[in-house]
Amino acid sequence: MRILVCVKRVPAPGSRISITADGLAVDTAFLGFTTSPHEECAVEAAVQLVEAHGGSATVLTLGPAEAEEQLRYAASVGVSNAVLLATDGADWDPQRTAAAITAAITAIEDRDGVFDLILFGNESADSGGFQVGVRVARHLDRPIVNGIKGISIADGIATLERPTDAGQEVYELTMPAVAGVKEGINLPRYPTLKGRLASKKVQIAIIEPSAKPGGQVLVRLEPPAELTTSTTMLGNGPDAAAAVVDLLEELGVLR
Amino acid sequence: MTISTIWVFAQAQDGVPTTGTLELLTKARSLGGAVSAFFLGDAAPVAAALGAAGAAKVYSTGDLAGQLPGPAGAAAIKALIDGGDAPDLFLFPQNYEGRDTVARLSVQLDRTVLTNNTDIAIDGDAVTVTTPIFGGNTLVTTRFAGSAPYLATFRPKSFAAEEGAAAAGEIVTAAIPEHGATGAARITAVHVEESSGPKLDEARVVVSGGRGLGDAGAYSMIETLAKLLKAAPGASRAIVDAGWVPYSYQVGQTGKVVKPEVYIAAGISGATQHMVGMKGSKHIIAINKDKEAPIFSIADLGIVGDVHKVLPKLIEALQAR
Repeated sequence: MRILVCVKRVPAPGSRISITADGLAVDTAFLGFTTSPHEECAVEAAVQLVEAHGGSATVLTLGPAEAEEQLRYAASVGVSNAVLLATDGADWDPQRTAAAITAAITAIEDRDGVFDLILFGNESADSGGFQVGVRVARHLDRPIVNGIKGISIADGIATLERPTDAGQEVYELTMPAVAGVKEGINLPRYPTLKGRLASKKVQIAIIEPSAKPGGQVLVRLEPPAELTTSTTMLGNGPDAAAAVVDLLEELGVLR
Repeated sequence: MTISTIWVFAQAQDGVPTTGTLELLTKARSLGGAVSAFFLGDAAPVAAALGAAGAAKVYSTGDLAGQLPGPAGAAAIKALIDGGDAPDLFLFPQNYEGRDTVARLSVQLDRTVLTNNTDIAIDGDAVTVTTPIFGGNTLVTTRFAGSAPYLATFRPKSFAAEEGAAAAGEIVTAAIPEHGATGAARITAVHVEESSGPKLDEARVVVSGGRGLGDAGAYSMIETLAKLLKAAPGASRAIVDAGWVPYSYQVGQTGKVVKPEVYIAAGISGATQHMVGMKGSKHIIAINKDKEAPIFSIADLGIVGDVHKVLPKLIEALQAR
């Protein structure tokens, strides 16, 4: 079983985002970074599948040299190979990213064999484009289902579960296949001390990606207008219940 | 280039166009040019309603006969475009089917697709979209480059659905060609959850619970309160991920976007991911024991207190009416 998991280095959630003076980029000087949460779960899913079925997991990212940190993290929880498509730090659009990742996957597969399953996060935590996984699957001519909260593998078939508005759908994909994993599919493990030490020794294959920019131009970044809500405190504890009822009455929702 | 033809990816539920579809058709009409709808499935039952909302033509693929919607839709649209019937701008809803179809289409057309938007503007030749990123704490404006069709997805409730000039709603058949291995995933089972009461994204009142409830059993207070208020019960991502309630209850960035008259947040601290999904509510009432909780920064009315004490009292007061 050969599994590839693609991750993205993103600003840590909750960080206060500042924008550069020209309004065209995020000022990363004082930002903390992490792996997108959906992808952290995808890494865990890859490791669990390898534990259950044998084989190896590979982690791949396209990003600045510092994204090595996210690759080492994946290595510290059990991924054995790491690939960095090193950019100059600029944010690549989804079209360009997918083209570069496809080229890298094709090169790796030509050398080492096909990945039975390629996992992406459902969407990145920063730009949330929902694009790269589908684009890569299409380029590779493999089936993909997104929004996955359950994976099992048997006899060359990946069975995937996707929650929907109405309930749940179950899909069967003949491998090689691609899946977009959603947070909540599992609880990612913490790296052990042994894992951390081992991760320092994992060789990171560095590929220089080449792909031309897609059809979009960044015009500007700006903070949204501040919400100017003034909160009226109805009171403390259970005594405030009556005030809520009066209010609901006033708003006309009790009819 | 001038934008003269705009298509909207239309969806229906229970035989009527979804609110999201009407929102996009309203916006499309306001941008000028000819508006048409593309419907994945047999459009016959909804064509009149889509016409009334401004669609001159309604492209219909006919029954999907078990094919996966996304790959089939992308293939049908690609075939229309290859045949010379092409939009300048194509608006998709930011939901599973819209996203899936547009992503597959865009890669076949080798076009960019700008996703997750909340607004669009056309100024002469420039088509720009606005997108909140990092869970809404930065807005990005992006302009399309290169040649049409320009493809974009929009979050639910980005625009208000309004009535306007009706159009013919003429049904045009869009054939689904053979589309290869990317559509080879098969659905083997569909589980439907029983649901009753108003729908989360359409209810006048929404009552949501979060981690502050403490355990799964306490969610029954949310359901009781929701029933009394004829409201839809909702949830934060934390308790959905914890398995207390199904995903369909989730309000937020990766769940539903709601804009009810009244939103009651009980035991929800107010992570950005949640607030993105409910901050457009008209009146927000927050109940939380931590008076510093971020939810109070956007609530109109707040109660500082333990939900285990406040909710029973509130339920009691409502039952006493």
